[in-house]
Amino acid sequence: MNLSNFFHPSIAFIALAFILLLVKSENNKAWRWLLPIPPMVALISIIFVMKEGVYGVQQYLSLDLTFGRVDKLSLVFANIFALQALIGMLFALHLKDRAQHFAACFYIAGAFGCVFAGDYVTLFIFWEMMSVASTFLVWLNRSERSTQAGFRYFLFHTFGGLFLLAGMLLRYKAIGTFAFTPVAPGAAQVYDYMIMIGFCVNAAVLPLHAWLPDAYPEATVTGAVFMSAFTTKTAVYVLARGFAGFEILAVMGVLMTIYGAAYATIENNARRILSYHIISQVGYMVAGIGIGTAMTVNGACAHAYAHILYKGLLFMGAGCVLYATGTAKLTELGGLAYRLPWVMFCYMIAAVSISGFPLFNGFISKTMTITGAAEAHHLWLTLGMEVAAVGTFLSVGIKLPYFAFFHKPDYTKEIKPIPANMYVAMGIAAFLCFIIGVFPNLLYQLLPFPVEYVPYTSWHVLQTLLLLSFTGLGFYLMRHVIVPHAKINLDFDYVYRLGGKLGLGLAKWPLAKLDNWWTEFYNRVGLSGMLLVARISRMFDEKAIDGVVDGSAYTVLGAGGRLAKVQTGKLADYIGLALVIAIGLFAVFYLL
Amino acid sequence: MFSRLLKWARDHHPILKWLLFGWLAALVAANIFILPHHPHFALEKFPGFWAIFGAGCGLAFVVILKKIIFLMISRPEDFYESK
Repeated sequence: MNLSNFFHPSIAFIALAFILLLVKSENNKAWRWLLPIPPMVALISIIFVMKEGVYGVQQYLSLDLTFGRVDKLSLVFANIFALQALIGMLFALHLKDRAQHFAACFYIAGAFGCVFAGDYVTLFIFWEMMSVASTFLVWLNRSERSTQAGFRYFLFHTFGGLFLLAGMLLRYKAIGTFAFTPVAPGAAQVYDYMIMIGFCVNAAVLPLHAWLPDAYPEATVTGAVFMSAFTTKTAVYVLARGFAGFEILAVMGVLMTIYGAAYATIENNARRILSYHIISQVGYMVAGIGIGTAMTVNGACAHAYAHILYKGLLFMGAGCVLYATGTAKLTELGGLAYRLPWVMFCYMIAAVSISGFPLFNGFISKTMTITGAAEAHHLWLTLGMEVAAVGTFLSVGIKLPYFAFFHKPDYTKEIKPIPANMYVAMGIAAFLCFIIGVFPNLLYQLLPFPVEYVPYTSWHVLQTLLLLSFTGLGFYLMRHVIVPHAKINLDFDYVYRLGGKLGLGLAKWPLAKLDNWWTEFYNRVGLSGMLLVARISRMFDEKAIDGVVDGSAYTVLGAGGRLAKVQTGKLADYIGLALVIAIGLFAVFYLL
Repeated sequence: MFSRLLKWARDHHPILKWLLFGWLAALVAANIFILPHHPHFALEKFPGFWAIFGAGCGLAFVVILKKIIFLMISRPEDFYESK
């Protein structure tokens, strides 16, 4: 491996995770300063060290695994991942809970691994690493709801992962390679579509999206900030790499933009509004990839970059509100601008960014995708994206902040003070949203294709202002109708919750019956036979074996005791243990 | 600083309302002079198209979602816990 031109950022994050195993939680004043180091190492590596090329090709089980495919597409995603990792780590700096940092490290390491993976096996390993680690970011919120939501999240991602696995194995059988290369839309086979479905689960493409608004609002305050950045955007990256130009993605993407904005308009929980809005924003990216021209793929990448910054900031803002008040429900909030003015300020920067106001980063990325769609003569898709832009400003730009920060009655209960590091992280994100909006070339120069698009023309600016300002008028006229209600909304997760209930019913009734019957049978028939065998073997034991085996019995006893400790009966522990064993086995095989 | 600004805004909301209307009128006026060189949609060459589109979509969004769809798909908060 030529290390002078490539250093894999995941190494730094995994190293930090193992260091965290050795420290004590209560000493976090000391070890917390380690947290920003891996993101900084990653940033330095990506900006100053990495040159385009293929690095880190390793032989494993007679396969060539490529850990370091570096090109413009992987670099733009790695760049924003590193930045957001830094912002997220600063936001989480005050946390004493080592487990959360540990999970975040593995999660981010997984995301970097996917971005630089040159083949499907490597991709799959890191893909699953992300899935397991992010599940822990949900579970570590340590509530009944988060436990259940975490299980649903994990099961659904396993479902998606199996599609990816089946697709890549069938593909290997058919064409004899695991190389992760683009698929031409006309030549796609069933296995290609299976891989695409696997990717679409993580990209929250309809109707495979329900895990996202189900799990993210239940994640920890800081975990949700990480999750909003990495899972869906890694999926956008792999779709851009493998499936650009697939028209089905273009149509589904535009449907996502409207669907997400629509649910965000009627939701009550602030973090769920933002979660639905991830679906909407990722829709723009998926649509850009589906249209597949140089301009729209550029637009998708630019939008991913901008989106990670402002969505992270939105989740930080909503997270601060949750941290300070203990609730994220709009019906229980109001007038918080008085109590948390700087949170409101940073949130509003993100809100105008996501809405695509001129001078902020959403403007230079969203208009690029929309103009690209129009120039590729997809007028209906263009119009759909404009409708979603209205919905975005309406729900996340005005409704959420209006009812959380400005609306009466004011929130009068006690407010927990917000740690300074949270403000610092939000300040950095807000600054980046603004500076990239003012100097678009900071972002455009990173994009995979040369950029000819000029965002700041008088028409683009005026059109955007017209669209958004009159959306504001719509809100003003409808402000008494759009008032949030303390309710939840049905979504596709209803289907698999129902499936889960059916499974439970099946286990409760027919299977339990069968189990009872078997126990009865066993007691009557099996047990008496066993007793006979036992009597004979005891005689043999007493006469022959006793002297020989005593020593080994003690060994078994000791090992059994140790094994019993691992068997906690908690599925969550087993999944974590399985991951550790898998990594260990992987290392052993690799060293052999 | 923010709290004083916000309090002033709450006490003087009619002024803000007229500022908003003035701003909207100014935008439409600007639209008469600034039009796209290569309109993607035929209607784009008429001033005020995007204004009507924005306001219309905004109103339709709220009415359809809040008055129709929300009533159909909303459930009590403990819907999934109670069963």
